Amino acid sequence: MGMRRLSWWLEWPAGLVRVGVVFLVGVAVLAVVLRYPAVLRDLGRDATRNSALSYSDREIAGGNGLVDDQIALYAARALIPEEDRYHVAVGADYEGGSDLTVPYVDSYYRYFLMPRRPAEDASWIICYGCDLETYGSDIEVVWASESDNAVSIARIRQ
Amino acid sequence: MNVHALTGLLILNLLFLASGLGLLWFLRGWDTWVELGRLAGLAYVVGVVTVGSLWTLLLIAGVPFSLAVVLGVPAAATVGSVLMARRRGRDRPRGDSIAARTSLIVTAVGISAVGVLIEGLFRTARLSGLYWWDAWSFWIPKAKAIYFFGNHDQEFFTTLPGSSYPPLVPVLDVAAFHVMGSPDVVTLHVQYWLFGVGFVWALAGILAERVPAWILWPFVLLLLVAPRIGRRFHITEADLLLDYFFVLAAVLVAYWILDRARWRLMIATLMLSGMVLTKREGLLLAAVLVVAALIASARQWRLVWPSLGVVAVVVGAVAVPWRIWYVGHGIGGEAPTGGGLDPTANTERLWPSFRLAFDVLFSSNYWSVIIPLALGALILAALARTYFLAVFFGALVILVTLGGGWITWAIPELEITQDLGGNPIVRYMGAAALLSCAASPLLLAAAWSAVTVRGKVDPA
Repeated sequence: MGMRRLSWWLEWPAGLVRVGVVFLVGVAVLAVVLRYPAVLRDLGRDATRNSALSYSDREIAGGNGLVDDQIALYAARALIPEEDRYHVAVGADYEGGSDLTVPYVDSYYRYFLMPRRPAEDASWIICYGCDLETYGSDIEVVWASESDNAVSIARIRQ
Repeated sequence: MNVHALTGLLILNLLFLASGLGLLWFLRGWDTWVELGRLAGLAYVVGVVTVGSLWTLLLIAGVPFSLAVVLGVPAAATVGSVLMARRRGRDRPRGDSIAARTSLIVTAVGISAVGVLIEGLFRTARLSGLYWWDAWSFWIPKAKAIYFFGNHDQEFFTTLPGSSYPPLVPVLDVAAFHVMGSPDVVTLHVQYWLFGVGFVWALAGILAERVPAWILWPFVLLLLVAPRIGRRFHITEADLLLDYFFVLAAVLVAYWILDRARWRLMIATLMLSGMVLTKREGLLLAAVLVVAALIASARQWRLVWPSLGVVAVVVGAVAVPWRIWYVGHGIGGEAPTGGGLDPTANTERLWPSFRLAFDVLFSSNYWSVIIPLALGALILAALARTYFLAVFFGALVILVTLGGGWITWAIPELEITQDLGGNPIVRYMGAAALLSCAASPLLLAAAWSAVTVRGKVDPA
């Protein structure tokens, strides 16, 4: 830009526009200078946190606040064949997990267990505090969470 | 994340780049290697939107989505455009030197500062888990369904949330899954990071045509440090991708009205077509962009409006197949109940809805100082009589914001809240914020040029 005479900046309306442009670019520079170090620090913190996660914490990620028991997810994936169907049954008074578990845990299983398909009349039941007796006597519990058996995986014998 | 997955992503993204470079060579030609380097980011995004749209339309037509399709479509697009460019007599780019000027130093500093942030974003993206609700709730399940079953699996596509959303984003995810060798949702974040990098490069590249470096780079950096823009580059949802297409289309349409280079309108049409295949909001954003262009070009309507009409027809035609598919499969439509056009409906929500949209627009918690700066830039551009740009971008930001208010008003199920769980308004308004950040340097440069380079206040 070079050095300019004061009148060049003060003439109307061109000078006002010039001062305005320089002022707004200056504000943008200031905003960047003020935020830049904090953003870099936050990015570094996020990267450190991500790399410190266990494999299961990273893979389940958004489901950690929903599924109550990570092992139940892996057990379901290991036990239920890809071509079989499953149903996530959640007891209305299930108290484990978070507030989001009862309304959304079935959605998370749908995402995690694909290509397995959910179905109401499935031969596999992933039970969150549900009443397995309602499925009749031909049901076999093949896995249950170690802590309190609140989550279990059962198979209805055909 | 492993070497196989990263190598696969590298190949896929080189194919995107090659497709875009070939298409731009055909449509506009490359004068110099320096110019090619400046516009390589735009070429990359053009490759993403063109190949992604072709994949999407093939999928809707019932073509099984396999690795062969993933690799074959961009390869065919590249070879086809190169052959057409040769047939059209396009020359290869020639060597060029870069003059050592002050602006080169500013550019070098800007690129370095951006590079450090981009590297930081990569470190965040490379091992990120999938935390984003909509991503695991329906975007990724849709992608997994296409990956595992090779098509629009009717059972999943008709029962997942957001079932009327167009499938371009899941299709891009599936392409990444195929080249990575598995549905690796962790490494997928690197793909989205690449979309973000491509967009920043594209935006800086096209703005650099008209914006001096000292005005350009502060705003590119501002975009990256804004809380709800740069920091979200790696998030595997459709919002930012839609915004990238929208902003680039807006800048290209503005340039086309100014210089009538037809390739700009063609590329803008590709971006607009990609928007209507990305999210249902894409229809609204594409419509307001065309309306803003009609308003701003009213004085040249004989020259501009017919071409804009053709653009609207082409974009509408691209939007139709997906709408036929979901209507044919009994999925509810995208428009609000009752169409959202009855002004007597939900009147108690009218003012709160539009106020919410403007509150979000002016929130520095989301966009830092982007909006006040854009407002200042609009005023200065008007003072400098660069009316076209001021009217176009001013009208566009206002129309986008009114569109956000309309969405909240017309869908009574949405709460009047900025909470993401109750209303998507914050995500939607990202389009207005990103547009403002892109428009500001253009407006400031036009104003500066009008009062300094030309030495007087003169209409652009």
